[in-house]
Amino acid sequence: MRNLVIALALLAFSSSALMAHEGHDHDAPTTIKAPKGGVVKSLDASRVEVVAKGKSIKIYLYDRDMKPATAGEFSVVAQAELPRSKKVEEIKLEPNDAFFEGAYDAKGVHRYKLKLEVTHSKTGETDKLTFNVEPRK
Amino acid sequence: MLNQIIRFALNHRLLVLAITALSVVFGGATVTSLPIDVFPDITKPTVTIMTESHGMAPEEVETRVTLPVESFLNGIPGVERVRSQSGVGLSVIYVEFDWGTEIYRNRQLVQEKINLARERLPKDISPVMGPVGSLMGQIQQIAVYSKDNVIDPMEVRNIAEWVLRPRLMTIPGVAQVISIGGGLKQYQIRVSASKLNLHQLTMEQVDEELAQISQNTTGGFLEKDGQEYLVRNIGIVENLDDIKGTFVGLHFGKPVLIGDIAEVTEAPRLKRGDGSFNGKPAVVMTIQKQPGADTVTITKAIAKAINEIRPSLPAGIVVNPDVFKQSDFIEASIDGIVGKLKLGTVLVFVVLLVFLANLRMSIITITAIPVSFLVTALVFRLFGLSVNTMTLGGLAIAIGELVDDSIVDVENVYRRLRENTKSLRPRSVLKVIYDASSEVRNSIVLATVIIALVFLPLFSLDGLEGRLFAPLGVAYLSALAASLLVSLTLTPVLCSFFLRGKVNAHGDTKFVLWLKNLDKKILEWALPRSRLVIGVALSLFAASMSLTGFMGRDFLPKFNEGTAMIAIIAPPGISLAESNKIGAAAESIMLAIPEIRSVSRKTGRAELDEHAAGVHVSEIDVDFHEKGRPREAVLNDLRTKLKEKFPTVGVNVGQPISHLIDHMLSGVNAALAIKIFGRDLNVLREKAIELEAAIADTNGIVDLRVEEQSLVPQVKIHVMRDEAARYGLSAGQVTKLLEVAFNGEVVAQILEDNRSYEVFFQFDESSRASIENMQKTVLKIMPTGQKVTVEMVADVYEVFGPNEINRENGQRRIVISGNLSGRDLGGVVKEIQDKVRTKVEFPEGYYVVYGGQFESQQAATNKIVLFGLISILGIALILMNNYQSKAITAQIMVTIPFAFIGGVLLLFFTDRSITVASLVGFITLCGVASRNAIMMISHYLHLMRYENESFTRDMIIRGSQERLVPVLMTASVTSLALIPLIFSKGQPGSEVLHPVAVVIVGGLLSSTILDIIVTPTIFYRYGRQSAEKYVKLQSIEQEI
Repeated sequence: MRNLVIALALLAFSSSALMAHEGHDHDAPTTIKAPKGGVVKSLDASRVEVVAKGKSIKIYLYDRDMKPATAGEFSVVAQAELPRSKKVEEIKLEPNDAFFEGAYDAKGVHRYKLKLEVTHSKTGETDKLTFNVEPRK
Repeated sequence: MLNQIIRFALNHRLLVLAITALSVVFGGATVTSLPIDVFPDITKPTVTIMTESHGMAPEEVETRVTLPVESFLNGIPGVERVRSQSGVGLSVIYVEFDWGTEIYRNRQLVQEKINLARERLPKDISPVMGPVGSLMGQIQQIAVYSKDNVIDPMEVRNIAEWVLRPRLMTIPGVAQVISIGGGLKQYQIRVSASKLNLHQLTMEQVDEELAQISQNTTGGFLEKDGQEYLVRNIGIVENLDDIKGTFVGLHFGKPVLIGDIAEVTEAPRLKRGDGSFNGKPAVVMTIQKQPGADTVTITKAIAKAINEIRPSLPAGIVVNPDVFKQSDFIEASIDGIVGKLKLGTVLVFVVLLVFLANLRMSIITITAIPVSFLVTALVFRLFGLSVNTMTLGGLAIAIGELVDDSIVDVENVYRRLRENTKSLRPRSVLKVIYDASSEVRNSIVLATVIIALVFLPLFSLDGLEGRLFAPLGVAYLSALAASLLVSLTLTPVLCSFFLRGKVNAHGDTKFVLWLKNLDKKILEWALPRSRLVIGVALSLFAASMSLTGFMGRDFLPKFNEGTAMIAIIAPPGISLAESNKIGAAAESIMLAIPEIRSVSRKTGRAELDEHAAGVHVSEIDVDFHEKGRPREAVLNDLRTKLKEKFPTVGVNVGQPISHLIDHMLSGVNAALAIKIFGRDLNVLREKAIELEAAIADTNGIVDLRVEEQSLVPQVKIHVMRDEAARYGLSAGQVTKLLEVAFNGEVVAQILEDNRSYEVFFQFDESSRASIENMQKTVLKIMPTGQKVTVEMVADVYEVFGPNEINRENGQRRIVISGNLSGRDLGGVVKEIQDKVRTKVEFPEGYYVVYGGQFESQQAATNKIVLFGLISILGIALILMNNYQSKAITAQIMVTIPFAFIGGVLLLFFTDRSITVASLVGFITLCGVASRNAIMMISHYLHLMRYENESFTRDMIIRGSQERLVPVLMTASVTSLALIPLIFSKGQPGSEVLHPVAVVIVGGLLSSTILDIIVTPTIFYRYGRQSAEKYVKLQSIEQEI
C-alpha cells in the first residue's frame, strides 16, 4: 500500500513537473477561419494551425485572437506515429519567421498522427496536440 | 406608296373605321388574355444535372462524379460556362448556355453527354437533369403548421405532402411543389448491434434477408373449371407487425425475427433541412411554375384550391398561402405602370388642348394613343411577349411620340382646310386633306425611321440587359409603327369626318402668340451673337460632361420587390439542430423589428430541391408592413443586429428575385463576386482570407464573406485490405456493409391509402453513438465463432475534409462575395482592384476574376456605347441621303450633344449613377433630339424652296416661329407623359424605367430650349451655302 502511494505521488509529481496537458481536439464547427487554409486547434492561450501537403508540414502559431505569433515565441517538438504499428518517429522542425517547417515521409501509409508538444518560451507552459495527417491528400 | 396608302384610306373611309374598330376589339380582348409578369423572360438557358452520390465525401464526389460528367459537357455547342458544386453525397452541375440557344435542344445535347458519362461513373450512380427552370419560377410559398403545436410535425408534413401537394400539382402551370420541414414519415428498422451479437447474426445476413422483406411474385396461372386463375404470391409488408415478424436468421435452431434484434417504429426520415414560419416549426411549401405560365392566374388558382381543401383538413392545421407571393410584386408593378400610362395620356390631352385650343383636333390626335396601344397588344401576341414592366415601359416612353405624327398631320390638315375655306374656288375637302397629309408624310416617316434606327442597339444586346430591354424596344417600335400607320390612315379619315365644314378661321391662341413673340425676341438677340450662343452651348456641354466623373456606375437600378431574403450562413460542419437554433434566433430578432410583418425560414435542403444548400445555410423570406422606416434603413438595422448576435455567422441581405438574378450572372447570390481560381484547396482558402482582410475596410461594401468552403470534421473508416482479406472480406464488402449499418438503406415501400412510405433499415443510435461503438461493430462471424469487428479490418480516425468543392469552367474556385450599400458598383470595384493588386500576392497558377453585376455592367456599357455610335453613324447616313449635304447633316447631328446636357444634369441631381437603363435613355434621346432638328431645318428649306423666301434673318425667325408650336408640343407631350415615372423612383415596377425617363425628360428640356435658340443660330451662321445649294439641287431634280 505504501509503495502504491509513493508510486502515485511520484507519478503526480512527474506529470506536474512536465506542466503539459492535452490540447483541445475539437473546436466548435470551424468558427475560426484557418488563415492558411489548414486545420486549426486551440490551446488555452494560443492556437495552432497545421498545413500538411505530401511530405511537407508547416506549423503556424497564433494567439487566441488569431493574431500571428512569431516562431521565436514558442518551441515545438513534433513526432509522427503510424497507425497499427504505432511506430513513432521524430520530425525535425526548422523555425521560420512566422512558422515552423518540417518534412516527413510516411512511405505510402494512408495517414499518421502528428503529435506536437508546444512550449511557450515565456511561461514555460507546455501543451500537447494531435493532428491526423493524410499525406496522400 | 405612302401617298397611295393615304389615298386608299380616304377612298375607303368606312373600311378604315371598320378595320380600326376590329383592331380595337381584338386588341382589347388580347390585352386581357396576355400573360402578366414583372419582367420579360430573363432566364439564361441553363441545364442542371444532379447526381446523388451515396454519402460520398466532397473530394470523392468531385473526382468520381463531377469531373467525369464535366469532362463530357465541355465541348457541347453553345455552352458558355460550366459550374459545379460537389458536396456531401451530392454533385450539382450547372451548364449555362448562350442566351440565344433553345433550352430543349440544350437538354437533348446534355442528355446525350450524360449517357456517355454514365459508363465512367461508379455503379448505381445516375445523374439526372433538373426540371426546366425559370428565374421567376418560384412564385409562392405556403406555410403549413399546427396551431398551438397540437398536431405532430410528421402529420403536418403528411398533410402537406399527401393532401395539399397532389391538389396543387394539378393546377395548370404548376411545375413543382417542394416541401421542407415537419418530418417525412418512414417505417424505420433500428437494429441494435449488441442484440445482433447476442443472436450471433451478422450485418451481411440481416442485409440479405431485408433485401427481400417485401415482395410479391407471380405464380403463373391455374386452370380450374374451365377458368383461368391468376396465381399471386403475396409477401409484401403492410404494417409494423409485418416488419417485426420478418425472419432474419436462426440462433441455435430458433428463428430470429426483426423484432428480436431491432426496434421498428414510425419516425421521420433523416432530415437534411427544416422549415419554420414566424419562429414556429412549419412545413414551408415552395411552388414553382412552368416556364411561360401566367403567375397571377396560377396564384389565384392556388388560393381557390386551398380554400376548397381547407374544410377537409384536421382542426388545428393552418394553411397560410400568403407567406410569399410573387403576384403581389407583379400586380403592384403592373398597376403602378398602368396608372402612369393613364396619367401620361391625360397630361398629353391637356397639352394638346392648351396648344391646339380645339377639342375636335385634340380628340383626333389623342385617338392615336389607344389605337396604337391595342395594335401593339396584337404584336405582343404575335411575338409571344407578356405584359410586363418593360413592355409597358416601352409604351410609357412612346406615349408622347405616338401623338407626334398625328399632331403634325392634323395641324397641317387644319391649316390647309382653313386656307381652303378662304379660297375663292374651294376644292373638295377630301382632296385638301389628301394633299395636306401627303405634304408632311416625308418628315413624319424620316423622323420615325431615325427613331427606329437608334433603338437597334437594344436588339444587339445579349445577356440580362438584352433580355430586359429588347421587349421594351419591341413595344416602343411597335407602338411607333402603329402610330405612323394611324397618322397615314385613321387620322386623315377622322379629319374628313370631324373637321368637315366646321373649320373656323381660327388663329393662334394668346398663349401661343406670346410664345412666338418671345421666340422672336430671343432670336433677334441671338442670331447676331452666334459666337456667344455657340460658346455658351459648348460650355454647358463640357460642364455637364464633367459631371459624369462624379457619378457612379451601376449595372441596373435596385429593384424594390417588397420582400427581402436573408441568408444566414453558419459555419459548415454545424448540425441541423444547431443551425435551426441559429435560424430561430435570427427569426426572433427579425420579428422584433416593427416594420417586419412575417418571416419564413428554410434551413438546409428539401428532398426534391435542386438547390444544394448544406444544413448550415438558412434562407429567410421577410415580408414588411407598408409603413415605417425606409427599406434600406430597416435592412441595415437588421444586418447590424444579426451581426451583433452572431459575429461568426455570415449574413447576406437581399431580395428574392435580385438574389436569383445575381446567382444567374455569377453563380453567387450577391452583387459582387470576386473569384479566385487555382488547384489547391488550402491555397484557395488562404488567399480568400487574405483577400477578404485586404478589402474589408472598403467603404460601401456590406455582407462581405468568403464562400464557406472550409474544413469540416470527418470520421474515416479506412479499410486495410490485407487485414480484411485475412477474414475473407474484400474492401468493397466491408464498405457496403458499413454503408448499410451507419447510413442505412431503404428496403421496401408500404402503401397506405395510396400513400407510399419507405421502410428504412439502419443501426440504432447507440450502435453509432461513438467511434468506439463503430469500431466494435461486428461485420462477420467466422466458422470458428470469432467475431470480425470493424477495428480488426479498418483504421478508424478523425480528420478534417472540405465541406464542398466548387468549380467553374473546369477549375476549382473560391468566391469572396459582397453587396453594396450607399455606394456605386464601379467605384467599389475599382477600389477593391487597387487593394488586391497591392496587398495580395498570388502563387503561380492562381488568379482572380471580378464577376457579378460588375462584369455585366462593363460588358453591357461597352456594347451600348459601341452600337450607339454605329446607330449615330446610321442616322448621319440617312440624313446625308435625304439632304445630300454634309453641312446640313452636321447641323442636325450637332443637336444630339445638346440633348445630353439636360439628361446628364437631371441624372446627376436625381440618381447620380449611370446604369444600363440610363444609357438606354440616352439612346432614345438621340432619336428624339434629332427629330426636332429635322423638323426645324426642313421647314427653313421648305420656306426657301416653296414660299420664295431667301436665306435671311427674317426667314430664320419666321421658320422658327412656325415650327415653335410643333417642337414645343412634341417635347411637352413626351416629357409630361414621362413625368409620372420621374417621380416614381424606387417604386415597384418603375425601378428600371425611372432612369430612362429621367434622361429623356432632362434631355428633352435642354434640347428643346437649345433647339429653339442654338439650331437657328448655327443654321444662320453656317447654313447659307448648303441651304442654297440644296434648294437649287432640288429645283433641278424637279425640272428633270
